[in-house]
Amino acid sequence: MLNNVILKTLRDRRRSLTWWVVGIFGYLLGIGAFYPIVAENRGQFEALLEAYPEELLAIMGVAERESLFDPVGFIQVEALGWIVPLVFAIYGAVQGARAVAGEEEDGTIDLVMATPLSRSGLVWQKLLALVLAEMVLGAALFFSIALDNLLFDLEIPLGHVAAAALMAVLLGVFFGSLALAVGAATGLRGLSVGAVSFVAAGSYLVNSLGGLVEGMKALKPLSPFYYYDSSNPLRNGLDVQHALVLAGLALLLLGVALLAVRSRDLGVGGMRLPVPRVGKA
Amino acid sequence: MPIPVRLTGVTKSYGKARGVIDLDLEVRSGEVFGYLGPNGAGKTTTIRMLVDLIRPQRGKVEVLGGSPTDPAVRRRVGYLPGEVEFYEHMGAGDLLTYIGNLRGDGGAGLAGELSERIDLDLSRRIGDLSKGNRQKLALVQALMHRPELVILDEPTSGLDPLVQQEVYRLLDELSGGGVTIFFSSHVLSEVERVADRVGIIREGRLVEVEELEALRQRAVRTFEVVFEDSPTIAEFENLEGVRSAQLHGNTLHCQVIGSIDQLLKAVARHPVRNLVSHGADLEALFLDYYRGEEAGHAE
Repeated sequence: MLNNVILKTLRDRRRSLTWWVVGIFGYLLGIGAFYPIVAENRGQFEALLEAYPEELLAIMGVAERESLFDPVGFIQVEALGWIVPLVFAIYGAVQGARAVAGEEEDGTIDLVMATPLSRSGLVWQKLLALVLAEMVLGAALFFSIALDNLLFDLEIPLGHVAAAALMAVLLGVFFGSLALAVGAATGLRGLSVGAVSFVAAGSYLVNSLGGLVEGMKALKPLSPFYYYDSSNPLRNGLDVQHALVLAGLALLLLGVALLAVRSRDLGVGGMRLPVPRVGKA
Repeated sequence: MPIPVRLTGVTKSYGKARGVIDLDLEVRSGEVFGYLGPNGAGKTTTIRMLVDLIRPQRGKVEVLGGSPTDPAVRRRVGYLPGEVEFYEHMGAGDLLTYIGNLRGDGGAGLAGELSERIDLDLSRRIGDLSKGNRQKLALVQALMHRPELVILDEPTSGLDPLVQQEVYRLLDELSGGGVTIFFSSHVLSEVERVADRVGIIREGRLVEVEELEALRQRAVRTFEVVFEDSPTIAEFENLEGVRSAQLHGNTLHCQVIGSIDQLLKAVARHPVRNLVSHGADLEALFLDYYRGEEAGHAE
């Protein structure tokens, strides 16, 4: 497990990754366990929902009122609509920020980069480790919904489950590579996490509320969340185009990271930003 | 044999009063070069350019005949960072394996042997190691792949005197085996003990590069002479090489740079009760270089 940066990074993450996996299983099994109750009272719930205004449902992440209480709609609203993309994006952002900027801030970059490892080697290996870690989370998502199928008779096609899991992975990889690129360009871990959080929150809102405002509808394709679930992969299967958009953006960000880290000073306390100094230097 | 280290007109600044300016420096093959200067003088800046962690704004950095940006060059270099940081959760042995693997074939060849030599327990978690043991670990990773050039930034900081001596012996051996060593220090006695040649850096500028022997000859000796009679200060204060002469009653205090011949002849004209000399004090010379800058400001 110490052969290269990829395996070493995964080895470092194995404990925390285990907890993320446990969390995903716990949450999805918990949600699944509620489904039989929901199914029993489906008529009542649907009548209740009739009274809700469109805007409120949009904020809650409900896109299709009519099928909210079938298994796919239920999992979509309770998990895939908000907490799953959040989990995958946060994991990606945190690990992406640690990838280069984290090693710089920790000071370990000196040991690693004085070896023959090239800067581009560091960056792509770190990104690959991140992709693999996101895939572990994706596998956890897939198997936990598959287990819901088995335990609570959800009968969601496994191909669609795989498609939904893949989109979650790609979303996580996108935010991960964004954080990695910001970190590779600046050497600042906090800035990377902050910038990604900002982009994630903003683009989430654009995607979820964009449908309400006429002028904003056109903005939805600017949001990564739009590619993540506007095609509703759990119901309709994989939208290859949307998957390729997210993968392509991640590759583009990898390119940015590679370029940015090439000519920069490493481990000097970050790029000089035009921030006023507080206190003594 | 390529020149191990050559800096030509290298400038690297981080804004006010940090970095190096117009640095020309050449380290000869097989020598132990001591890079001496106070904290903040630019030692670490120079060293981090030699392993391509930072890049010069102007000038050329050559290491082992190539550029440190070339991974193949870094493969032949061992580097001990100034304030070394590790992956705290890793085992010491695991870290050496990892660094070794990043270097490729034989990257950790001497890890076991060296660790035994300086009494480092590789089974322990790095986070549990003492400051001294961390420094030992840093040293082992810098030396374990039989580098041709070893670059050490303050190698003995944090080590107890016994281990320091062991490190000096290790460096002597490496040097005996033809390895070139470039090390920085702000402790003069350390440089005196190990180095063949010394470069003194102050506020980013190299103020002196000299054989240690030559430096020693220019070093300051302090004399204290107690006379039986009462000479006058005029007899001593204008002698060649003598300075800051002071006479208190029948006791003379003075410093001598270089030859002591003139002073001894002057002293011998009087009956002498006692004479104490503090040997060649490089420290004083060294401090002179440091102070030089302040004097420069005053002008």
